[in-house]
Amino acid sequence: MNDLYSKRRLPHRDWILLPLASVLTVLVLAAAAEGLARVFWSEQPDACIMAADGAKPKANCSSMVKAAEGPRFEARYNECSYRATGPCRQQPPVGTERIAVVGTSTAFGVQIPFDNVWFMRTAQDITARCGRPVDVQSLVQVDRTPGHLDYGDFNVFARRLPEVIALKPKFVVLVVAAFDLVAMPDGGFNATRDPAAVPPTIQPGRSGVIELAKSLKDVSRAVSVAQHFIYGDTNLYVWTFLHYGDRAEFLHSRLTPRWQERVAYVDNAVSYISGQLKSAGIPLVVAYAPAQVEAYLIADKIDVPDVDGEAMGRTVGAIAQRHGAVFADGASAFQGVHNVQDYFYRADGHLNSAGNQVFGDAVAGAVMSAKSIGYCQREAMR
Amino acid sequence: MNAPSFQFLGFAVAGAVLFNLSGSLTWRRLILLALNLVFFALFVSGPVAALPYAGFLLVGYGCVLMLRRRPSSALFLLSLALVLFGFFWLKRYTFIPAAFSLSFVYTTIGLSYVFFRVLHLVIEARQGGIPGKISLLSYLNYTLHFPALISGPIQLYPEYHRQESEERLPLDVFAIGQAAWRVVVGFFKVMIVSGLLMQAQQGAIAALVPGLPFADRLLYSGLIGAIYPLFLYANFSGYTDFVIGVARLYRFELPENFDYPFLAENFIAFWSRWHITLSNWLKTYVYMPLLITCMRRIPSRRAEPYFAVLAYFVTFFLVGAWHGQTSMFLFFGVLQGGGVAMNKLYQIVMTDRLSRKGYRALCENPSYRALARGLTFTWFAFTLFWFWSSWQQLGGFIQTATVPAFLLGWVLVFAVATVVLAAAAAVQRFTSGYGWIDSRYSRTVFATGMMTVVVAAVAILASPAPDIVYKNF
Repeated sequence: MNDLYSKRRLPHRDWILLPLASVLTVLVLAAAAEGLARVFWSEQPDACIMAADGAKPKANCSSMVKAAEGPRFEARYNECSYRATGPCRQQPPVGTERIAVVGTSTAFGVQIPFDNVWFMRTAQDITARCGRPVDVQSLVQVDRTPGHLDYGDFNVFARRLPEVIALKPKFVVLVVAAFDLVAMPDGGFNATRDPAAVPPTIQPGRSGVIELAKSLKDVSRAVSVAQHFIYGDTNLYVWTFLHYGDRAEFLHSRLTPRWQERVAYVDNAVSYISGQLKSAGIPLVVAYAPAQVEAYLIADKIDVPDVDGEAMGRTVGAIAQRHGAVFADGASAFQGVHNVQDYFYRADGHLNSAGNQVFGDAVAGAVMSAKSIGYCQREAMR
Repeated sequence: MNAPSFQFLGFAVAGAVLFNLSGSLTWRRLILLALNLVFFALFVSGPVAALPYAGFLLVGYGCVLMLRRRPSSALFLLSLALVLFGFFWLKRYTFIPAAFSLSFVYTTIGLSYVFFRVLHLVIEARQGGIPGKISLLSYLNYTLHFPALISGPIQLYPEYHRQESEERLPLDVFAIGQAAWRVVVGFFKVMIVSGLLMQAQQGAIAALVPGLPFADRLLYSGLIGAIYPLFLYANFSGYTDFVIGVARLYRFELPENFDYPFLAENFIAFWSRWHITLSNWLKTYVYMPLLITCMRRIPSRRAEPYFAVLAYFVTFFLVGAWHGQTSMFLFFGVLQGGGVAMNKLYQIVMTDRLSRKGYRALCENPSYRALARGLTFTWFAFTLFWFWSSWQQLGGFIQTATVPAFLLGWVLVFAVATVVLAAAAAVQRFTSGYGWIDSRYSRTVFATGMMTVVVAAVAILASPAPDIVYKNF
C-alpha cells in the first residue's frame, strides 16, 4: 500500500488550478445567491420617509414600498405626515371616534399595507363590537439624521404631545417595545431636551477587513434570505438570540443595571405622557409590542432556565398601571399561536400582517374592557 | 464539543500537527493518549464524574489481560458478565433497579461505543485474536480514540493495531485532500442538510393540527414519518464522514458506516449498508455464534434456514434495544429484529416456491427492485417512530391525523419512496460511469461550495443579535 502511495504526486499546475477553482466557486456562488435574492426578494424603500425632514415623512406623499419579506404596497401620508384613515386637520364626521397612535416603527406599521396594520384591526374590532366608525391618526416618527437612532425616543414623543392633543382623540395608544429601548438616548427621559442636540448613537463608518465583512453582511440580500429561513426555527432563533448579551438581557426577570435604566426611562416617559394627556382629558393606552424572541418563547412555550418571554411585558404593564394608563399586552396575545414564525418578517424582526392582526386584537380587547375609556362598555361586558 | 464543529476541527488539526511532528511510535502513542484524555475531559465535570467510566475501562483491561493469560470458559463468562453488567449499570437501563444506581452525576460520553470495543477485546482475548501485546497505553488509545469516541464507527482492534504500528498510512497532499473532502461533506450534511430536514419535520409536526382536511392530514402524516430517516442519515453519516476525515489526519482509516442504505432492496441488505460497523459487530459476535450453536444443538438441514431467522431476530433486536433504555427502544428492537427475520423467512419461502434460480430472476426484475427499495425504506421509516418519539407523542399523532390518514400516509410514503429511490438508483448508476464527477477538480468545486454555505450559516448564527432592521424606512 505504501508503494502505491509513494508514487502519487500532485501535478504542478494543480497547485494553481485547485485554489483558483475554490476562489471562483466562492465568487460565483456569492454573486448568484445575491443576484437571485435581489430578484426574488426585492426591496423598495419608502420614498416619503427617505425624503423626511426631521422626525416626519414628507407630507401628502405616497410611495410604493416593499420589504424583502413582504408584499409591495402603496404607503400614503396625509397632510400632517401621518398614516391615517382621513385628514388630520379636520375632525372626523359626527359619530366617528378618533384614536391617535404614537410610538415606534411597530406603531405606524412599517412595511405593512395600511389595511393590515394593527390599528386598523383594532378599529375594525371596535366598530364591529360597538357599531361606531373609527378614525385613526398614526404619527409616524422617523429620523433621517445621520448617526441618530431615534425611532424609539420617548423624548421626541413627548415633544409631539401638543400635536397629539390637538387631534382631540378619544384615546392615545403609545406602543412600547423592548427592542426600541436598546437605543435609549443618553441621559434617559427629558421632555425639554432637543433631540437634535443629542450626540449620535451610532458611530458612522467602519474600517478593517472584519468590519468590511460585517458591512457586506448587513447589506446583503442573500444573507437576509438565509436569515429568514434560519430564523424560521424558533428554538434555534431563541438560542441564537440569547447569546447576544445586553440585547437579550430584558428576557430575564432580574434585570441588569443597564436594563433597569431603560425601564426607568419608560417609567418616566409614561408618567410624563399620561400626565400631559390626563390634563387634556385623554386616556392613554400603553401597548406592549413583542419582539420576535418574546413571541417565540411564549407561543412555543420554549423553556430556557432563567428566561421569561413575558417578563418585560409584565414590567411595562406595571408601569402603565402605576400611572393610570390602560395596558394592552401584545406579547401574551401570542400564547397558543401555532407557527408563530409565520407572524414575523423573520430577518427584519417586525410583525408582519398576520402578526399585526394578533397585536391589533390585543389592543382592541384592552381598550374595550377599560372603564377609563368607557368605549362600548356595555357591549364589551356582554 | 460537538462533532462536527469548528472547535472539534481546530482541536483535531492542532493535535494532528503535534502527532505528525515525529515518526516515533512512542511519541505518537503518547500524543494520541494526551489528546484522547483532553477530549474526554471536555465532557467531564470533575474527577469524580470520570471515576465510574475509568472503573469500567480498568475492569475491561483486567479481563483482557487475565483472558490472554488463562482463556478459560469460567473466566470468560465472568468477564462477559462484568462488562455487560458494568455497561447496563452505568447506562441506567430500566431493568436495573434504581436503588443500585450511583447517586452522583457521572459521564457516559461514548460509553455505548466503548462498550463494544471492550467487549470485542474480551472476546478476542479468549480466542487469541488480539495481535501482539496490548499495553495499557494501546488499550486506552483504542477504546478512547477521540475521533470515534462519541458515536463510532466501531473499528476492530486488529485493524487499529495494524494502522497504528505495522502499516502506518502516509499523510501526503492526496490524503489531506481526501480527509478535507470528508470533513467538508460531514459539515454540510450535519449542519445544512440535516438541519433543514429537522426543520421540515418540525414544521410538519406543527402543521398537523386537529380539524385539517383529510388530504392534509395524510400528507403531514407521511412527511413526519418519511423525513426522519433522511434527517438521521444526513446527521449520522455526516458525523461519520467528519470523523473519518479527522482520523485520516492521524494516519488512521476508520471503517465506513454507510453505503447508500436507502438503495438497499431488502431489510437484511439495508442493515449491511446502515451503521455497518455496529451490524457487522453483532453479526460476528451474536449472529454467527448463535447460528452455529443452534446448528450444533439441532443438526437438521431443514431447520437450518429457520435458525438463521431466529439468529437474525435476536441480533437485530439487540441492535434496536441497544439504542436506548426505555420500552420504546425495546419495541424498536422488536421491529428491527422482526423486519430482518421476516425478510429472511420471505427469502426461504420464495426460494422454496420459485426455486433459487426463479427467486434470483425475480430479484433482478427492475419493477420488483424498485418496489422492494420503497418497501425497505417505508418499513425503516415506520420503525423509527419508536426511535424518535414517545408512546404519548405517537398516540397524539395518530389521534390528530386519525387512523385512516395515518395508515394511508404510509402508503403515500411507500409510493413516493419507490419512485424517488428508483430515480436515485438510476442517477447513481449513471454518475458512477463518469470519472470527472469524482475528480479532484470537481471535488474542489463541490467542497468549496458546501463549505461556503456552511461558513455562511455559521456566520449568520454567530453574528450580532437578530434585531429589528430599520434599513428599509
